[in-house]
Amino acid sequence: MMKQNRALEVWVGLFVGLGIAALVVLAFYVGNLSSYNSNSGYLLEARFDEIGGLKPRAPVTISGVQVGRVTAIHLDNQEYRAVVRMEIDPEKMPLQRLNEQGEQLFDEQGNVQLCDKNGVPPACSTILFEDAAASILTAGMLGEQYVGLEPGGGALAFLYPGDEVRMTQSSIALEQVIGQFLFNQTDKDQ
Amino acid sequence: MISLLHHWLLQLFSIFRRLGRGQLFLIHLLGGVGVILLRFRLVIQQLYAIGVHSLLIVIVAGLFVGMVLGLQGYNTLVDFGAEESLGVLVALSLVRELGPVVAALLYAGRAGSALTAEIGLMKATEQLSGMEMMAVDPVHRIITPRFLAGFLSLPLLTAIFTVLGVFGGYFVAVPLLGVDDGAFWSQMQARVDFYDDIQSGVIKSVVFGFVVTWIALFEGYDATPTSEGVSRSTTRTVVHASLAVLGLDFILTALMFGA
Amino acid sequence: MSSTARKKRQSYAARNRPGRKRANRLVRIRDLEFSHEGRFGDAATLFKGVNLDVYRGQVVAILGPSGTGKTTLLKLIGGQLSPAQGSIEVDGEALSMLKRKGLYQLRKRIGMLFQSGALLTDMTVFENVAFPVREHTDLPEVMIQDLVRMKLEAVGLRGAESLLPAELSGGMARRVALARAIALDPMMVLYDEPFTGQDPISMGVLIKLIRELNRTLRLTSVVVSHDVQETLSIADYVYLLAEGEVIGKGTPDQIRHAKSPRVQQFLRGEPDGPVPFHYPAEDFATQLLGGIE
Repeated sequence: MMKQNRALEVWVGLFVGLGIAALVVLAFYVGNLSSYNSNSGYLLEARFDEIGGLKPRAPVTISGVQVGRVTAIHLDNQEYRAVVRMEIDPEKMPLQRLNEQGEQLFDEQGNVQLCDKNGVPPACSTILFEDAAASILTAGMLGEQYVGLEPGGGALAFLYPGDEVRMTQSSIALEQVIGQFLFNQTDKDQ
Repeated sequence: MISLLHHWLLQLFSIFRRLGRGQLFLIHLLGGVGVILLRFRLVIQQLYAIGVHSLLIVIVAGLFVGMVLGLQGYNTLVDFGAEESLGVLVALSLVRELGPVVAALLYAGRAGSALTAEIGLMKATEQLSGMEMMAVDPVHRIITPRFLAGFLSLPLLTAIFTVLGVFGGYFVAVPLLGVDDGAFWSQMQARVDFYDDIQSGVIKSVVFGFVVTWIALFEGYDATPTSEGVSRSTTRTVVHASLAVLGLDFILTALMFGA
Repeated sequence: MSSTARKKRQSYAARNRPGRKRANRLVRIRDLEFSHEGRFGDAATLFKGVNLDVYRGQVVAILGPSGTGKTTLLKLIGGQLSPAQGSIEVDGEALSMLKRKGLYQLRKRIGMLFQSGALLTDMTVFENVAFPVREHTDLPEVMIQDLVRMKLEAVGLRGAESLLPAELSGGMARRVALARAIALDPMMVLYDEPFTGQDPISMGVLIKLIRELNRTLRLTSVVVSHDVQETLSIADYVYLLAEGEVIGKGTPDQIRHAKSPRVQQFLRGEPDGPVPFHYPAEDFATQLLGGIE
């Protein structure tokens, strides 16, 4: 009787353990739960003339490295432009420490001093310059669309969390590219 | 003619009565949850009978469904040169639809029918009635632990089914068909969203577990206490539970993924 | 029992004092009417105006042909069914007035032996007898063991405690069920067809057990049966039911010498008589001719 009970408990334990392990595998290996960091990111905004097929949760990248996600898209009623709000993960694109003049601070090795996750302006800014640019790109020919950031470098000031990235390059529709190409061809022929 | 109409009305009447009895039965059995949670050993025994015994069929079915998906998906995707997306295809179809639905159908056939037959036979052999005369509420003592165990089992079985399906697809895609290992996983992880896909799959399996277990237990409890009555109830469990799963799947899909 | 319930019972007894025997009455059934509900709401009348009394300490037998609703009567006494008309009082409490909780409290004091035994098939004999004890008390395991073995000893099956119900013969299963019925030391045991389908030896064992348990545990027993001789041999008082009515009552001797032809037909087992051999039907000749047309 006792022995039988123990075997039963072992089996049930195994079953429940297996089930929970499967849920964990689903969440972290099959799905993308590991890429969610709940509410710990800071926000950036950008306005585009045309966002194409960009959707909330699309990746935000710098040089192809994913640093955040699109959280919301809405229409600016005055300018008729699409406002894309992005949440950037500070673990992937950290905040940097600034002095009172708004200049970067360096440590002894010459590296930029960083803020911790909860740094606030004006002591902390993003590592993007004010002339940073955002463009909507497509992964492969038919793949999904994502936002690519370029850090800039011509300006001296930096973007703060919550700022807007002013330079934008809209989504390029395939029809436009083909149209332009044909137009150029006919130009050349003449 | 009139007698036919009369007959139909009576049929309709008895269908509504059954529905009503089913609701009351659910309320009655949920009333025992508090007491039974304090005697969790009873639930563990049923987890063994319901969950562990369904494990084998779920594992085997999961592997094969995943392998077939991998094979079929590859043949279609390779025409577009998109075989790297095979991971996405296998994972998304399993997580969103096939996992919850097929696991629930298997569960209805394996555990649901067994529950109905067990309860029905207990009723036919006066075990439930005898318990009542011993001042023990048979619904709380017998039905509630089974309900809790079934309700807990199906989401776990579904997760196991889905994960094994993904691995089944992987075995076909990567070693057999030569899809790139990295692309298989990375594309899958990039495209399968935790909240949109996995969470809604889990919600589906929770709903299915609730409904299938409820139907199975009610059919047993409401069975005509004869061998013929029990066998008819068992059949009804499988048919009704399967239809309920498929119908609810449509409703839940429309609700969660947008119409 | 709570003090309020006790008070209620005393006041009830006070109200019904006229005869001294009243306080001794355990079950009182008056003008009982009950119908079985058919599948589409039609009804088959089982009882029309049954009066029945069971006094403490007695073995009361309820005899009647099969299909007269004897099992239903036991279920009515146990409160599993409720009557359409009339009143049932058990131990001074009117069943119709009891809430679920009160009914369950009452049932703890009533044991019932089902025709099939109704043992829980997934438990051993020991666990079956221990079942009501475990459900209703928090006794330590050692005490439960002693108690269960005592009850099993009383029915002579202490050696079978580790068997499963499927491994028992019909007679043994019924004895285990009896041990379970008396596990909580009830005031009354209801026996549903205890002799049906038993070989002569198990029948003898059961007769002896019912009689002895009734004496040693100071039980009150209600035996429902259609086995005339066995039942008459152990009963203190007998009710004869047929067609929803009490057609005869009295001590076994009074019943044996009753003049009613219906009683005599039942006691002697005559195929035809006041209770007809044929199930009511239209005239046979008419039906045959009707078929030809």
